[in-house]
Amino acid sequence: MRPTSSTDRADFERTTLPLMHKLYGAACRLVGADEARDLVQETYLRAYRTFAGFEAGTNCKAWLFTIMYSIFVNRYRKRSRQPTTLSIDELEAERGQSMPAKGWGSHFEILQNPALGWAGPEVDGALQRLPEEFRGAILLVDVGELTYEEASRALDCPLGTLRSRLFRARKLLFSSLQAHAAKLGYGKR
Amino acid sequence: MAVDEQHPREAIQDLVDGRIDASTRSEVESHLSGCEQCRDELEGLRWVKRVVAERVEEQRAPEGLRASILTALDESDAAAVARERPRYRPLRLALAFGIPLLLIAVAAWQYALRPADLPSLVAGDYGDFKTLVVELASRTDDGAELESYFRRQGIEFETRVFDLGMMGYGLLGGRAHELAGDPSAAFAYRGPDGQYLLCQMFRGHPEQLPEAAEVREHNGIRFHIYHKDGVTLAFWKEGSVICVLASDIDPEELIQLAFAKAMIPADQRSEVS
Repeated sequence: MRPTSSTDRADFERTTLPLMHKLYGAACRLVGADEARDLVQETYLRAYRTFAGFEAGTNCKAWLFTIMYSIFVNRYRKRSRQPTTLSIDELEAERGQSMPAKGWGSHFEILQNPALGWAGPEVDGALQRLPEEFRGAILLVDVGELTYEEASRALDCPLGTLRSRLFRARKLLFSSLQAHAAKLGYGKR
Repeated sequence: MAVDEQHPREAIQDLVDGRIDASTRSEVESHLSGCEQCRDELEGLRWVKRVVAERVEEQRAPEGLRASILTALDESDAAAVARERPRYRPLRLALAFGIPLLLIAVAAWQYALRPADLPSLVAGDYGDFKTLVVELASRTDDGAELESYFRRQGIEFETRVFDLGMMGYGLLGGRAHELAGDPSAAFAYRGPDGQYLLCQMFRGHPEQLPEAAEVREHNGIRFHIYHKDGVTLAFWKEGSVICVLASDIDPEELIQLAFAKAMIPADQRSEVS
């Protein structure tokens, strides 16, 4: 399963190294900046070992994210610090269940205000407050570009659960960012 | 999560994630044209998806990470080469490059000669197969067909694909794989509650295995039990072949499955395993 020729090695580097920054960005959201470097390096080693099983032309980013999440689950999850002890139900209750069943539109206009920009720590903060399996769904699908089927296997959950986690996570993120905007005086709740 | 049946929430999310077929898209778009609430929801979901992806992807890895990765790959290559040619590689390198490199080569040689940690490798394979990092090359629920596949792939020993139907485990398929540089036959099962089970068979001896967490005997067969990263592994010998079952199910259930399927080859029934 290990590349054995310089061509394989060159092919591996050409295919995977351009994705290093994206992997690192996601790794930071999984294990924190202190351990992200080790997680990414371990991901590359595992990917190199199994590169013969990677089908050229398929989604390399999704493949690498799958490997990284697998290592995260097996090696890091147990000892990674959980930034929140709130369950998804508690978070939803905190944000108010009615939002945004009606009202995506008005909030959406506020959130799109260029003055907000969203380059600060708010998006990260909202992401970190999500329970890990919900954050994982977002990272795998929205950043890693895994299909629902691939993400549900990586998360070891049924497709319907993945679908539900994605929706609830996005809704909560939206709600958290809207609350932040309101705190700054943009719009009214 | 409350679902409003009047609004195609699931289809809207599918639209956001680009997983909708043309006919459904047409239906959803028709609904969207007359429903402001769903249009807002669509845009809201799209906005969250985009903002999160942009925020994560704009982060840069620290300087030096690329170099660390390449160094790790170099070390991996060196170890692989040393494993393949441990007898003459150190001498050749020493002759070509002198004493300092000879010392390095000797170190690599010693590294290569250390026993491979088979339980850790199989536990790693378990994770790779379960999460589809490594795909099953032959997908079939027919054990005989899979055994035939292994023969066609050049697996030189007799494989025995277990029928675990009585235990509720369905065969998913298999792959002619590699374990510590040697060919292995790997095949996977899915349990009634979605549990994943991996079996591997390869030529070997129990002496290759490190000290086990537990050794049990059942029907004259010795089982070497390991626990690695939440995965339980049960190794046993069948003739010249080592079999291993691996899963993250309850350890005792895994051991009982191994007990149920292990057997002594007919021509060695008088031997003690």
